[in-house]
Amino acid sequence: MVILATPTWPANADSGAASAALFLFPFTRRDPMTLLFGFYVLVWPALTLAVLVVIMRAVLKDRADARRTNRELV
Amino acid sequence: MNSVSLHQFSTITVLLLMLAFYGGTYLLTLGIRKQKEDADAYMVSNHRVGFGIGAASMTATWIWAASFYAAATSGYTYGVSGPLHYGLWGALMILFIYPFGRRFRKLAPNAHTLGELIHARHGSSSQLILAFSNVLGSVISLMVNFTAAGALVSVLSPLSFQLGVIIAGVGVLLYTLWSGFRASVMTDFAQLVALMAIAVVIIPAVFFSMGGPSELVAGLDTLTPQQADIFSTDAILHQGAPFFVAVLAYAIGNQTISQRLFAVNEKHIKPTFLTATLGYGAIVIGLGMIGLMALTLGIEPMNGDMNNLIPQMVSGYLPPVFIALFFILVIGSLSSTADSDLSALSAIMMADVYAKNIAKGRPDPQRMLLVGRLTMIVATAAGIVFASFSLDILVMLVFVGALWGAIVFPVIASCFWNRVTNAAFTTSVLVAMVTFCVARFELVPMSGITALGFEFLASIGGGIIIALMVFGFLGRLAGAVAGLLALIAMLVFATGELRDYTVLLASLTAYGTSTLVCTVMSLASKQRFDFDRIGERVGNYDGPREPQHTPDAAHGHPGNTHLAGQR
Repeated sequence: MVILATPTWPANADSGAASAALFLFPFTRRDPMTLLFGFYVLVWPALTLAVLVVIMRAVLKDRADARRTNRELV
Repeated sequence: MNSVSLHQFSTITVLLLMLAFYGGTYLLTLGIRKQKEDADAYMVSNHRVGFGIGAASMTATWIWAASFYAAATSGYTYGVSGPLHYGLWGALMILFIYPFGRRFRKLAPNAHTLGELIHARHGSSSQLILAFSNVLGSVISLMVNFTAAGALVSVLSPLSFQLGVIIAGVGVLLYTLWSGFRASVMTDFAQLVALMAIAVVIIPAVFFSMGGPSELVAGLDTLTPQQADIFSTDAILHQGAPFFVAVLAYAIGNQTISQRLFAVNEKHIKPTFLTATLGYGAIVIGLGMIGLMALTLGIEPMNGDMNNLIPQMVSGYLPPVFIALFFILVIGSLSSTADSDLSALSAIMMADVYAKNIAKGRPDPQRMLLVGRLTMIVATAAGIVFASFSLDILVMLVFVGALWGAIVFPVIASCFWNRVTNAAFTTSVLVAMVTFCVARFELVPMSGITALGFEFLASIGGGIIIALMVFGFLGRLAGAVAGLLALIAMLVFATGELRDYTVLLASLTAYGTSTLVCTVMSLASKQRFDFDRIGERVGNYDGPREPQHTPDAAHGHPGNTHLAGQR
């Protein structure tokens, strides 16, 4: 395995935080294409989070039901 | 920035990460472990797995390591629409099986495998064809997942590929061996939570670290017109269409899906499969976006290997802790699929091979458990050996794909149409395999009347795929109309063209031939099958357990059938 270079986190971290702040700041004027592509990429992790919440809530309910009826979860 | 390196963990770090993952998973299974497991629970839990655990398990099982790599590769190759054309069709495989799954469950509420249902409907030959295709699929899946573990360990640490394969194989076997399917679904939930939480963090983190949406839009200028087009025909024809053809075949041919279908609470089948569809699509398309980001940045995959794209992006833009999270993400995804494959294989050997064909309906539940556990050990060993030798499985993959395509119509028709016979099922699949081989390997010159004949069969195949998909959701009439329109469209537009696309022609020919032969033979038969007999023939293997307080139990639903009481 050849290691080509060592990543430089602090510099990238700064630019990442700055770019996130710029995108999320609501009063900044944005090009519609930029907003569209931002949405296109970020909608998937947002949807993932929503599904995760649904599954977690359902499992907690299943667990409570299982305890109430004195049976196993699986 | 067009060459990004891969971060390297030390040997100790990687060993600790894997120990934490597999050790934690193993400890989780101790909470559900019983001294004396029963055979039914070992295969499908209690047939009443809740919506949350069921959806989590379905999603985790369907996401394997290749999902991320292939979605990113699709994004990198086909641009803006690439991730959609990988993740969307994969997600639809889960969605399109659920209407048929409800029918399977209604016919055989206490089944453990789809093969058992087909055995009750037709007998051994049809059942064993289905079981054989399931076994091949699961062994290939095991091998691919162990290979992914070896590859990941070898690119991110000084450890060897073989050691990564062995650790993953032994780790998965350890936590699945004792409790079987119960351990699989329980750990799937924990693995999916980790997997989703990591995906939610990693995708935006890489996105904003590379410069965010403005950088992505700026990079669009470097793309080809096809790559920049959301409706790219290249992406549709080369990535989307082959996946679309496989949507029903993958779902029918995969015991990991039917096992969950028979395990979840019957009332929750719909929300379970809908949630799994959304979950799979969101995670896989989201991670595929990292391939699109790499493309717009002009990053070259290290050593020309597309599988390095996501690790390169994570290594290049995020700190080591994120790379460790990515490592867990991949190990979690491949392990959840591998444990499901082990459970699927054990259920097939227990129910389809031992109970139905060796014990001839008088199985000993304890011996079934032994068969299941031995199957897991042998399958893990086989998976490790195949993965370690990096065997070329292309031919095996081609045959499995064809077999899955060939069985789609006979399996679905057998569950809805009372005239389908065992001979029609078996003959149609065998003839379809022969015509597939002729088309796929061009055993005869594809020109003139021969090519026209194959294109006609393939057009029937295209028509039946659309017909079945529409039928599943909208009923017979809508299915028939949609299928007829698709057939006419195929005959008009594909005749004379399809012969140039060998793989697509062969796959569609398998569908079309099995449909044609099965339909003609069934129409010629005088048999009228009584579907109620399936529920009477498929039951539990263990003795009666404590009564469950369900409406079904109160009203003597066939779900309470026990084989011991019938045979």
